[in-house]
Amino acid sequence: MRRGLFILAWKSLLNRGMSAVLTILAVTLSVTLFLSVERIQNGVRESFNSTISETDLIVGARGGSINLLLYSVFRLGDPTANISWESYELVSTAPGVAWSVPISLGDSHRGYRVVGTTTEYFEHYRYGRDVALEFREGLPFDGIYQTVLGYEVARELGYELGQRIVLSHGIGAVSFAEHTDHEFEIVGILAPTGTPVDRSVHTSLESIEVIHIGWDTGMAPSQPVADFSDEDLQPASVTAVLIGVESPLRVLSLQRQINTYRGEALTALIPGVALSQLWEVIGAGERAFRAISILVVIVGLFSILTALTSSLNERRREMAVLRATGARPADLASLLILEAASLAALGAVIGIALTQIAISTISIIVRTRYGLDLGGQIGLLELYVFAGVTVAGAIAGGLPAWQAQRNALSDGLTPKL
Amino acid sequence: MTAPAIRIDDLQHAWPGGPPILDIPEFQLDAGESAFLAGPSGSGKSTLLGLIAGITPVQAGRVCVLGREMDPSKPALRDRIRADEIGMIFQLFNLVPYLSPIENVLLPLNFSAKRRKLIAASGHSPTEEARRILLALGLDDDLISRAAARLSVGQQQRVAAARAIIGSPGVIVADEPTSALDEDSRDTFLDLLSREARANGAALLFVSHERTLSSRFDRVLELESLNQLRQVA
Repeated sequence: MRRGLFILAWKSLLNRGMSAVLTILAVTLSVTLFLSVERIQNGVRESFNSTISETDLIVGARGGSINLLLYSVFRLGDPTANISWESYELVSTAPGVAWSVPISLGDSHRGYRVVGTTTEYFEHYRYGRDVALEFREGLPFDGIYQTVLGYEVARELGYELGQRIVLSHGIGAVSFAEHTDHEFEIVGILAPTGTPVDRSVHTSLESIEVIHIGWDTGMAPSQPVADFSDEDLQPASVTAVLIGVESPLRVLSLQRQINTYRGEALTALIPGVALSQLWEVIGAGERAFRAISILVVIVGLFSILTALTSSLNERRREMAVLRATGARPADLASLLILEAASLAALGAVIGIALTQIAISTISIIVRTRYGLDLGGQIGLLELYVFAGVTVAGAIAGGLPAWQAQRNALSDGLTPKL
Repeated sequence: MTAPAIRIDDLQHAWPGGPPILDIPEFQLDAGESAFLAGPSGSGKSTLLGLIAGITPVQAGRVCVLGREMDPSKPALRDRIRADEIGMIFQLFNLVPYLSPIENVLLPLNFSAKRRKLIAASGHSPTEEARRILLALGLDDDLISRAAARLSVGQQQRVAAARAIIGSPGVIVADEPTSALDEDSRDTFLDLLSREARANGAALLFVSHERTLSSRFDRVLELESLNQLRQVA
């Protein structure tokens, strides 16, 4: 390829100003759509996959395992039912169980979900690749009316250690039933994890019990309850239990035991397995999205073909001049292919940059709302997209190139305009 | 002895589906010679130039440029000979609109290593050489840096002449280059073109229907007298 042709192609593009800009824009938008879909899908997958680690089983009330996984780990959707304290004790003391962490859901604080649990939660919960929770400030709760905030909760609401907050009944962002008679002291704030833990308000199971004394009817008691005994603080049920086993070999048999337990209808799921079930469900939709976004990229590339082909007639004189100065028909074809590839490459580069900006913006919203970290570094995917789109652009230049070559041979030095 | 700049033997041509329009038993333009070829429009001038330039393949007979045959079966070779040995000037629309005058002048160097080498041997850079020729043809630095499309027709023709001359090709072919110019600029253009062609040792084949210009050339030819078909008709 002659170096001069690159310069020629480039100047020709600059000369065609608006038409070139519009063509590049079409490629840019299609690449942005494609990359955004891919990046969001990959980000969500990665983020989900790294939210829970080293937990061998999750036990909850009988129901769909995907649903159980979503509400117990991802704080998405609502728990269907609780499991009794007796079942929890039975499960946690079953042979082969190394540790168990109960979780009690159902309350919230300004849209952030409250997780009633034990201090073992901070010890055993793992995310990413076996990464433990860390305290940014303070300590785990040690008694009732104390709370440990996820990183995002503290940051978004501007909370600090020692501040007092009130929890709400139910899990909506706007609550109509506040546990106003019970103030909680913030004793700890967790370090960021990029998981839904960041968006959780943690407190002890006993605290959950104490704020619900007198709520037997599901309504706030008419008068604040000041007197309660230790017995009142004994939870009657929990929402789910995270379990670690002593040996991986025990997981399947333990799961079977729990699933067939006759005392109560329970479901035990293996997080990895439930996640892959989730991906299977979502997979069809993902494939449809990908197919559509690939089609959009193809349409974008077609705009290159259209723009170059429609410009050919007005460029016949220019082509004849190039021929007269010694250009071979193949040089003219190369010129058009270079122009097409440059349009595609420019569109791809701008598209990649635009996606980067879009993803950075979206990931802030996604992190705040769902506690998921979309990640966001330019990587191999972008390199492949750049190379693929540029090559496809060059191929799209093939038709106008072939036509220009044919015109050149029939026109000679005097194009018939 | 140096090969003739252009040598034609028994050249016959007809466009597909049309009657024969050229039948030239013999024509020769010597190296360094300048010739005025007169002929009305439609007499086959452009066809002849296309054949000489190697853009139209020869159907019968032979066309040689500086001893190299424009072989109809070797399009790439013909393109190479044209790039190396022929500078062309058209009547109008000579320039690539999106290139500056200097870039237009430099165009043939993209396609001819021979011309690049000749310039390199002279010790100048291609850009210096292009500027030198443009200045010699009466353009100034201000005009040279302008967009080609913003030059007057006369200025554009001079840029085209500079492009035909750069890298010292052996043959310059000009197809009615002055017909769009007024009398003053036509004279200036012809003076400059002849001078530069001579300075470069190039043969000049100047095609025009304006016979008043013919006195400036070594030789004056009528296409109709070269072309047997016209004589018969």
